[in-house]
Amino acid sequence: VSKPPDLFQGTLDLLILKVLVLEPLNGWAIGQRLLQVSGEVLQVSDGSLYPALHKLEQEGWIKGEWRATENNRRAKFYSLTRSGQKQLNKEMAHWDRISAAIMRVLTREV
Amino acid sequence: VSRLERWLRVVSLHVRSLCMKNRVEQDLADELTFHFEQEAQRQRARGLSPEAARAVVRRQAYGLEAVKDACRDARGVRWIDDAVSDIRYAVRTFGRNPGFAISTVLMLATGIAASTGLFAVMDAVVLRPFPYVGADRLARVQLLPPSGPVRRASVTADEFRALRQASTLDDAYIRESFTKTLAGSAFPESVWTESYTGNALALLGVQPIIGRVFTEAEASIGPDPPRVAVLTYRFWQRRFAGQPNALGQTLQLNDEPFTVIGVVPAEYSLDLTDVMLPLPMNVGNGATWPAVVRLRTGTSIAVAEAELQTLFEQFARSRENALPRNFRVRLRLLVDEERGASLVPVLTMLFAAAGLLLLIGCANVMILLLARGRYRVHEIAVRHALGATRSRIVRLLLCEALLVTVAATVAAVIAARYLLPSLLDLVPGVIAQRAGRSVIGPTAIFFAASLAAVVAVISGAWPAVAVSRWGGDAIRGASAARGSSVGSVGSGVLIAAQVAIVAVLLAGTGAAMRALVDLYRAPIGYDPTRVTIAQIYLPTNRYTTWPARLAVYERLRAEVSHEPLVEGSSISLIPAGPPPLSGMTTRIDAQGLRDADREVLTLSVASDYFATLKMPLARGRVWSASDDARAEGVTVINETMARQLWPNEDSIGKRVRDRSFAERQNPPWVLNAPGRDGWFEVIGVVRDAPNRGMREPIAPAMYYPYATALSDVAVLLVRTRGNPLAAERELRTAVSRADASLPIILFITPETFMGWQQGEFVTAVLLGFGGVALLLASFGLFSVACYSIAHRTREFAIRLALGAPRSTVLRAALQSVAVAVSLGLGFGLALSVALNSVLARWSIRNMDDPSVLAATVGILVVVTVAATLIPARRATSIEPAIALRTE
Repeated sequence: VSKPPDLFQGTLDLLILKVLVLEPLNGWAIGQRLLQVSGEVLQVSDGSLYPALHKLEQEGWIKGEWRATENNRRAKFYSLTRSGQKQLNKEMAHWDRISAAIMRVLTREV
Repeated sequence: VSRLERWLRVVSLHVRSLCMKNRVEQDLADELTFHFEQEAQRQRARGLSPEAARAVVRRQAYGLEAVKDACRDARGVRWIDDAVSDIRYAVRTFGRNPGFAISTVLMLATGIAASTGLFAVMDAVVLRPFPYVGADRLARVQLLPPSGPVRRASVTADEFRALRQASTLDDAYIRESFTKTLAGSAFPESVWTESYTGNALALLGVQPIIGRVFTEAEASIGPDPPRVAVLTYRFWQRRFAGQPNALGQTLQLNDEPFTVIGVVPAEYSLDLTDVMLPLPMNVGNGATWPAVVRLRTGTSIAVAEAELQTLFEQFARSRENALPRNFRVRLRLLVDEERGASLVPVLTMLFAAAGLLLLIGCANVMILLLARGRYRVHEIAVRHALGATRSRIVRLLLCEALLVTVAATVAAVIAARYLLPSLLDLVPGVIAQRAGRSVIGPTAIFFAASLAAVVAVISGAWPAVAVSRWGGDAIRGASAARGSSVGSVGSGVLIAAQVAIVAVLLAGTGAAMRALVDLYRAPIGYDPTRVTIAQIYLPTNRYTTWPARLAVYERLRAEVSHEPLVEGSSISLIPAGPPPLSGMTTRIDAQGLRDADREVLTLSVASDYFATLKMPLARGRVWSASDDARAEGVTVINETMARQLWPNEDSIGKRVRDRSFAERQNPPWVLNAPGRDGWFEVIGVVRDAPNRGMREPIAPAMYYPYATALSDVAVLLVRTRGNPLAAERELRTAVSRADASLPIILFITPETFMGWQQGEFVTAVLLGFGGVALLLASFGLFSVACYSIAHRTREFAIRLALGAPRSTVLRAALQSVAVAVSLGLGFGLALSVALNSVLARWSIRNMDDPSVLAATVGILVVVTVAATLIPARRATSIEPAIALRTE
């Protein structure tokens, strides 16, 4: 099994924020959603995911709440806060600029 | 809003992470458990058997603790957690080893307390010498003539009004000091009053403790101000025992009643002021007063000087003769005057000495931390093995140093706070006047805290780094000996540094003692035993003619000299007094003198002055009592004057003229004898006596009969038969027989004006610092010797077992200490000699004096030997068999 490519520093934060736009999710579900949406490419290890979640929570961009899942299990659900939404917009704009720049570099005829 | 919201959430999360740790941990565990269960479920759904799925999950979850740890880190409060546990650990460590904790805290506390106390004094004397609002913008106006001395610029009432309007100034005020006679107790008392213009107290921001201060509205320029008095705290305590009912009471000052309206705090008694009064300013009689101005914020001195130059030139046009020609206006900041005062170098030096003391304390703490670190190599190694990072261990060790420093600082601030006032009480007059305001307030506490931070870094960093490295070395199997050798080199350097600092401190102390001994030994030109002097102020508005004034002085002399307790007595007019007090500087003409315009000191004294003080005459004679009464034109000069004016001739019979008789318009309080023109015939030469303080060279001086020009302030000089201070009551009674309303300023003995007190104070402080420094350094030396010998017990035991003589072992044991001490001593001596030339600018000399340096070396050698004796005995008394078995 090939290791999933390392994510850029900070990219995981962006992805988590983006995934949480639609609905609050628990940590495991966030991992699954990322995997699913990326077409099984982005597999985030728990060792990266949870520290990232805790950091984002500590920054005040997402907030955690204990709720029951559909199977009636207690789980911590994360949702986007208002400042998290702002942060997402900022980071998306930043990402757009960076990726466009990278594309320009890569597609340039040498 | 969203930012505030976010901030609040972040803060509450931090608080939660810190304070509800169990809850947070539980949440984290629950969250991850849920994750792994979900994951197992998913694996099952993908068709793995439940066992296989759990195995996969277990494999993944192998790092569960690591994930938890990473999450804890991500929460960003980890360092606080760690710090709390470090502090707890450090406290426990100290609890197990209270001797170590107490000694390190004491070592640092001594230095911090000394530095903080002196900082408070420096703050009061040098940094913020005045308690006034905008004190750093207050300036005296001076006039500089093209040649000759600087003059104070005095203004008339009208000019003062114009000055206050100047656009570069906030405002101006006038302060004049007078001693006034306060009647109403057993003996009349002389009080020091300061008269201010009505606007001054509000301008300076003087706030009363009780009652109120006078205002511009009630004490305006022109009409006589109301007779109200504002007391200073010290006078309020002295006269009214601090009773609030002082308000409304009446003070009889110079026979005028003043109503007490308020009391101001102690800090406003800068010049021993007792009472503040409104200044009467009559318009139109031409009287002038020296003004103090306050510059507008942001105005440069040059700009203000330019405006005042124009203003004073206008004043000069409307006045005749009163101002010098072609003067230049100069503004002299009050704080600059104060900072130029002679006290500053002394205080700076003591402050530096306190800093050195603190450095020694730091070095000691480093030595102890290093020494203790050697015994902790195992512990550190175990911590490494359990996964603690190097930086984590350094932090733990730093935390210990920090804890010591914080404890020491708290102890030091408390000690300084409670000791400073009583220590200031011991400080002699001239320093106490200025330093009396020093308190351990917010500034001093802030200083102590900053000092503590520096101290913690200095004394903690190196040991922490070194000890953590030894631990790392130990776990990698490097020889423990390497660690210890690094440590002993380190301790050696510290010992050397300590010894060097102590040497400098001791040399400084020795120099101060030498200077003091020189001062004691310096010839004072008279016999001061059982001599006491008192100042006498004639009441204003009385004795206003020359014959009346002479009569009261003569009556006074007679009454005092008839007192049975009195062996001899005389009188002189201020500023003259017994040596080394100065006289008045005057220019003279002299017969047969080529270059005119010489300056000499003149001293107005009575005929029995020389006999009372036992000042030997070199040639000629002294005038008689009847010459006193006739104000005969005769003078006795000192040897310096005789030598300077007539080097090759006999000075007896020569004539000199005090030009001030011709030049000065005498101030109203000086009454010249009728018909005197200032010419005197030299009839005697008296042996030289210091006349400009004990430290300055002797100036040429002439003494003439006091009746020649009678001022209203005199000094009574008395040699008693017994203890002079015990005779005070009899002397006061004798004075009151001459005139019951004559106030006397307390009787003092010559020691108080010899300049000895300052020398004694400085020496005492330095002696204290030097002693403590010596104690600290010997303690450091002792512990280094102890540790190094204890550490090498095994080596010594083997050597002894192999037949080495005990003296060889002893030498090996003390060699490194001896090397360190000699290096430090050499460096310290070199530093003292080098410092001597720097300090000489502040007339602090003798630090390179061979006897001082020899004494320093002697003391340090004795102390070194004493401090290493016990450990040395231990090294030689090792029983090889026992020592080798216990290792």
